[in-house]
Amino acid sequence: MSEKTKIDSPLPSLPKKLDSEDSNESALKSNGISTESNNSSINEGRTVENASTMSNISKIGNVQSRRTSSVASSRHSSSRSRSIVSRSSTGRQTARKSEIIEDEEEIFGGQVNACCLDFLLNELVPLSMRVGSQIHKNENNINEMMKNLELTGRDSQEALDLLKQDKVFSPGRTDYLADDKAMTDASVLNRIEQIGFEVGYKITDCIVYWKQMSEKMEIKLTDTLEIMKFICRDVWKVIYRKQMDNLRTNHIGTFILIDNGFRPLLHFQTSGGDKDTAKKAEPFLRFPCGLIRGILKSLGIDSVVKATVNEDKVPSISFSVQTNLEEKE
Amino acid sequence: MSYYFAILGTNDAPVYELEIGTYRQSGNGVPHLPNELQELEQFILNSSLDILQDNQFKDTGLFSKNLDSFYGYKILSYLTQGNGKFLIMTDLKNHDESIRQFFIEIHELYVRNLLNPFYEINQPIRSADFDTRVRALAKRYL
Amino acid sequence: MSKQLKQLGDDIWKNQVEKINSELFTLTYGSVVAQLCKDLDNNYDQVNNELYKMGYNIGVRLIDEFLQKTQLSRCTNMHETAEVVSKIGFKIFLNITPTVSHWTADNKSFGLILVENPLADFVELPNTEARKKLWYSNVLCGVLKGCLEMVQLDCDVSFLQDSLKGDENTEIRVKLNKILKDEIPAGEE
Repeated sequence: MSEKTKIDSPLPSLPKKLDSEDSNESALKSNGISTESNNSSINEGRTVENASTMSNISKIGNVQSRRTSSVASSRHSSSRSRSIVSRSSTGRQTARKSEIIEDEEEIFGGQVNACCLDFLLNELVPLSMRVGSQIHKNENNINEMMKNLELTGRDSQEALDLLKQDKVFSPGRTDYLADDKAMTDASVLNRIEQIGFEVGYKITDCIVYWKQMSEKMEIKLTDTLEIMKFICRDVWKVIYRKQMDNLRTNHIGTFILIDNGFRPLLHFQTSGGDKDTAKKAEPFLRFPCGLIRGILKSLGIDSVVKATVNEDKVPSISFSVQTNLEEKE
Repeated sequence: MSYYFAILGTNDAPVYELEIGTYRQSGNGVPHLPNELQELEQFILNSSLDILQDNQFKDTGLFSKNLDSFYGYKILSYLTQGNGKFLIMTDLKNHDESIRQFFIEIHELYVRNLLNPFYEINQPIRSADFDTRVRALAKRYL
Repeated sequence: MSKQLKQLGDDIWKNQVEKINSELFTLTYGSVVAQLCKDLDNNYDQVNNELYKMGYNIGVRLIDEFLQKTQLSRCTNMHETAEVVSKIGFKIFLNITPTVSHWTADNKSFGLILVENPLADFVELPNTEARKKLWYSNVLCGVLKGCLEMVQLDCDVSFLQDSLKGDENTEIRVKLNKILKDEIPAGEE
């Protein structure tokens, strides 16, 4: 939480009339609502644009004219019968936009095939490994350039590296799972977790908003247990189409969340037996770990989340969540 | 008759702000905030955050129509679940319901903005599209 | 023919597909892209490349799901393929139906115009360079490439334009190079 500035002393420079608001206006105002029309003429729209005078103390967030090229995106859909406002960032089109803004596409109205998300999530592991080696290569390239400057050719070595990589990451294959080094490389795993974290950090607001809109109720997530239940029920349902099977707590900030059929690992099996499968499943658990951590963080709770395969029986997974980090300090 | 509207991120840093006048009573959307107030508006909102934070963990609604007041200006607030805070300071009275509607619509915009992958939480909202939409909403509700 | 395909696509979408909220899918994909941009230091060529590879990997698996759901037999020509890709492929996975257009005279190359693109909902590209170079939805090209290759069609798939970048439409070009022989897939001796 940032520091707050309390203003205790009254400020003499303020005009006195601010203090006594004239009371006749209230009547006018309640009538005024109905007379205000939604239509806006082009001229009016422009006035708003110019009218907003920005005072110059630490004005953030309103950098209107930063972008000059226009990004237009419009969509029409007969199947879902929704249309969206055409997006453009040139100020001149502002007025036009405020007119069409009325028939806006409904948020959270669309659907896609669930397996798209499954495919995407399962690709995160090889993707992250590829990126890891790409970054490595980028660094090498710089070294390479340096070396080339010194007139030493190492082309063959690089070609070999390329070949090796292509074999490991050739499509449809799972050879990458055998790459122990990359599978346990902290940066690779962290990258996966980071993606989960980003999703989690934003998803709370989205899901709660969506629930509020669809069920017309205000939800307040205040205590940690409520939040855990929210993760088990709502978040899991949205992402993995099932709820967590069990939630335990020791009431001092540690929670165990158990999913006996973690969806991405439902058909996950290696030839090396249960232990081997469990080991190779680990990178796939980093995404949900990051997800949970992100959700908690967005609600102001720092946590450490670890996932383990229960008794080496994929797809049964436990997440242990420690939330009492601050109290310990 | 003017509004000062601000969105604060989860760490209470402002991510968006806007001064706008009312469109009621044949207003044209031009804000008439006295200079003294313009210089202070951020401090005023910040000081009312204390009250908001107290309310946050109480069983009150997300919308608070009488959060605080300052020289005839009152402060209204709306809290999103992810701890985003919307605050309005205004000298208009008896306008709470439209402001509540405004907040609800802003909430949708806020969520939309979150869904933009290149937006990082607590960073200033620079999207021109967002700005335009907020102004359009202000025109409709404020 | 085209009508039947549309009917089939709609039926499968309605009855056989488990659905999720597209926004949450969008959010996840977006986080992946944003993370890639960060990791690869905004080298958008490499980002495009990674998205393509990821798509390719998805494609070679996704085709099984597709064939199992649709039970379709082999297409007789590229026109039919294009219709199937648009009316069934895109329909049952992303619930959209791109328009097939811009055929070349040799009937080997066509464009898919995505009037809407669930991947890119809510997205605003961060800077001018990204708008110039990044193909945000490049994963789609990879997926198509992978799928088509699995049914013996060696194609080039790439974005021609993207409305995210300020272009008029979002268009993917598919160009048939050759029909692969019905033999052992490459690399599997």
